[in-house]
Amino acid sequence: MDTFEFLREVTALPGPSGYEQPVAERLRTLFAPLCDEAQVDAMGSMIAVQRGTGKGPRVMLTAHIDEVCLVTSSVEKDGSIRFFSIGVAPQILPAQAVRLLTREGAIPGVIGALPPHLQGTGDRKKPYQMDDLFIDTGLGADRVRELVPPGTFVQLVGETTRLAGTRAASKTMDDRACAAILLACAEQMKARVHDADVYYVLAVREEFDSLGAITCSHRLAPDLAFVLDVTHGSMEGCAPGETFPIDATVLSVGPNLHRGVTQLLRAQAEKLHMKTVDEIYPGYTCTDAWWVQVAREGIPCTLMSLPLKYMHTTVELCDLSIIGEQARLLCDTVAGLPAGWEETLCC
Amino acid sequence: MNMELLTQVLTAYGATGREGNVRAVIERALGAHADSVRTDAMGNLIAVKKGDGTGKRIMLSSHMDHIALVVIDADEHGFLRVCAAGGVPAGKMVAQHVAFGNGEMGVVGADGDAPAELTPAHLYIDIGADSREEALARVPVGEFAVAAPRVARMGEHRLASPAMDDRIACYALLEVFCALEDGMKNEVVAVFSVQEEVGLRGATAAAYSVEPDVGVALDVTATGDVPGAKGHLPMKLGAGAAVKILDRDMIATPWVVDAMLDAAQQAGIPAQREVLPFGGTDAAAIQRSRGGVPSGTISIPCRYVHSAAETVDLRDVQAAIDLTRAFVEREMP
Amino acid sequence: MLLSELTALRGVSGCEDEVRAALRKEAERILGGRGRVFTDTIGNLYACRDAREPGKKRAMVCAHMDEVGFIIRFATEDGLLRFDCVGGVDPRVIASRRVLVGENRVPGVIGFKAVHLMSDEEMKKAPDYSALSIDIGVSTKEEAERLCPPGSYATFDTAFMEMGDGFVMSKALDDRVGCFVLLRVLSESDYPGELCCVFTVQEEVGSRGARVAARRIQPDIALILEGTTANDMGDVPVEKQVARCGGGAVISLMDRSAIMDAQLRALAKQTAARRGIPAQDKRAVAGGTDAGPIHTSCGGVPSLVMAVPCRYIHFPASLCRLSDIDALGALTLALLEEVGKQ
Repeated sequence: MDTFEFLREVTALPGPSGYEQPVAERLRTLFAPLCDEAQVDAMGSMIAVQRGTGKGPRVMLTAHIDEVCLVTSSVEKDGSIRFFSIGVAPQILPAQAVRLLTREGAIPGVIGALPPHLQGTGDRKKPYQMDDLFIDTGLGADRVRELVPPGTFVQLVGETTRLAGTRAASKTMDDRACAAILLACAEQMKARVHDADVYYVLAVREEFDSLGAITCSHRLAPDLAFVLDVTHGSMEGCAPGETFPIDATVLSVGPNLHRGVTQLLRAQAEKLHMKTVDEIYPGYTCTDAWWVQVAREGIPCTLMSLPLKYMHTTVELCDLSIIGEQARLLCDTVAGLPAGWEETLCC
Repeated sequence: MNMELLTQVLTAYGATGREGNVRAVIERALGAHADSVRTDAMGNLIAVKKGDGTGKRIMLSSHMDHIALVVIDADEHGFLRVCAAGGVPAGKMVAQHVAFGNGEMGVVGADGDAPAELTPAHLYIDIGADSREEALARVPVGEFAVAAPRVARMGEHRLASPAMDDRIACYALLEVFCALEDGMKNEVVAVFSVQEEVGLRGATAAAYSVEPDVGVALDVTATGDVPGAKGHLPMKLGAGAAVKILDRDMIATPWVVDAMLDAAQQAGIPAQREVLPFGGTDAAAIQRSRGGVPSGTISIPCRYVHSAAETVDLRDVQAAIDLTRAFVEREMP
Repeated sequence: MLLSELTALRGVSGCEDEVRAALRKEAERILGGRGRVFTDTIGNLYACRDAREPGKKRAMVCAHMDEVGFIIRFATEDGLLRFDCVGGVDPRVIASRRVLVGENRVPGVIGFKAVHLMSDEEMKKAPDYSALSIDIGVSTKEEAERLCPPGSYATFDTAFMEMGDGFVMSKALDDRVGCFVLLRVLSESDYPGELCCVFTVQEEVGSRGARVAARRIQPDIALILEGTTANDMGDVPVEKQVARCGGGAVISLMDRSAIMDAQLRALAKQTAARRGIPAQDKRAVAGGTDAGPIHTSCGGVPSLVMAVPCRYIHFPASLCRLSDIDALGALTLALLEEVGKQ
């Protein structure tokens, strides 16, 4: 697969939390030729399975497919549209191009705010609040009310851009870059003999309430799980230990993660001479792993992270070569699960 | 509108965690309409109307409980000290009359030296006692106080009461359930739930045991139609039943939203779309139960939510009843 | 097993291995083949005894094995260890304390700037985690991370001590007092129904172990044994005290995660009164316990939290009275007996 092209296509597809259908459907068509089955479930998550010899565990590999977004509420007399946010900070919004996902197709808009020269000097020092902002479609109020009823979901717009070397920036690298890892893993796994039944879960609503992870974990009841998400890439002004080099594979340590499952990845990474770095989480990892761990009677899981800079903006920046590396690590680990895998999970 | 029944449901005592009285009122009102009625381990009242076996199981949930102040101690002068049970806005409780489950009455005060931002820790309840011993003998630790019940009709269509959230929806659910005919396609399970106000707890347990195919909560929602209203809420009193798109706890399942809006349009029921940037309903608990359940909420618009002056429009209540009926009669995917 | 042995065991949330191993041995010794002792993948330890009589409720009694502590994040260039707290530990109470890091019990200290060197401003501010470090006495990053790799857990190093009028002082009274009482229940209870004693993990980071244990056991009734706050020193007015050391077992009404089952609470209070077991109401609503996920699990489970009042809970050194621990044990056994008659 061409990682850049995949990302360019898939990050542009509209998939705000709760309304991920276009993304789920596209991923279904991409996973289907590689898998024994690929379906979209009742909650909207895409689940595909590559069955093994039957002598191995049920393994769940998961990344989330939803994106941070806005939701419209009321329309003012001048046609400007008020909105709420799911995961987007107001600071990045002024002048942001958006797409309103209406019944009659996507309408373009831009986030407006009071222009700087009309603000007092005091106001100019404070960041914009959500209440100061609105969406401008250039349409009159009556037409807006027809087309954009309250509860219309709004996608941020951003191109996928190649940067120097193997770097790229795009909206929604969180978490479609990890969906890319899963697809690449499935491609490699298809050529392998493996004991495990491997379930690829492209889960909905991580940015809102992890509904996809919760419900898929319950239904599949895997023996172990690998959750893929993004973490923060090295940036200025951050404390040590908060960010990671973007050419590293980040493994996770803390109460949310099962030491035995993490060790499977660690051991395989050593064999592959891959550079890994540990991220320490004293509790909540802010990922689907938090919910997978306590599904059913407990699912031993670990979290593998892709560092990216400028998370939850439309210019999320990462290193595409890591995608291939993490796919290889995941495939080798799962295909190579030792015969005594159950002991790894015991406490 | 059965004003007598509505008044009984609105005024019955039912603090969160202590729903016995209101449950008895509702159970009586169910009469012989249900095929089966049971109370589960948490106190949820669960009534089943069987279908003809060809449809789906729909769980309709409205909560019986109400936010309250729970007594945790009394000071040496006989003033009861309290904690909040549910999202009690402390400022709105000051100078309110409250009622306890054991029949005692009191009034709420705030510490004279409290800061402007009041919390329940700054509140006390005066029950006319003069000592700690007397106070705790009349109202022991663990008693719950709710805003004293009342119902006021305003104009032709408006009704105000402290317990609209969520007794107006319990009433609506009773009207829906008791009018269900035999031989429907879908099975309808009406759950009058407990402890919604402290985190959707009753519905969490009920959804697990009911195992529905579809979940619908009936609750109230806030409005943006009062002077100086903040937050750009599009909902208004009198504009019909509110079909929830999302709140803080749930994004309603898209096909359920579409089905509700379609049902409203086909039957000519006034309806409006709801987006709420705060709060949650029982539907969120149903939606994430077990392997997931498609769910949504039909809301009754309400001004002054979580105050003693909760106000609804009876036309919206009727619309919510009509819409819920129309929804449960539909064929479910 | 002695309380002093239990509190000395080291088991921060997510790394309860040492506690689990010791309790497992003890549970196996107590049950001696009359039940099943097993663990699950998150680390809960179960000691279950089959029912003697049919038609009795399946009772789950639990206490959590984990204690609050720290996890090492990385070492600075000069060899100081930066860390985060695991569970709720107030950063104001940990400066100038001793800790033990990792499996090898590497001793360290959480230093604090000498007052002579502090500015007036600094004197007024409380320390926070980003400014504190554990010093193990080395001076390079390499040496520090070799001895205490990132991800290692650290515990308070507080010796167990008996003092005053029947008090004990120790780390981790929350919830080794509960574990202590749970062992007594396993050993002495004659409960006729199925009895599942569960030593849970990760309570301090959100009752994670209890959430899955409840689904595995599917009890009809649950008793949760805890350590709770006693705020009865320092001229605190009676209505802010929560509970009193020496006042007996604390019967909870409600916390932020659960409203206790009214009937079970009433039964506990009646039982205590009838049998002359010292008991008191918990006079606060705060925090969460394992009752949270247990009481709404499956179709709902009537649950009650009962606790030993502890002063300075979640501090490096907390205090409780032995008589209260006895009272909790007596009340739990008596309550189980009453439930067993139903």
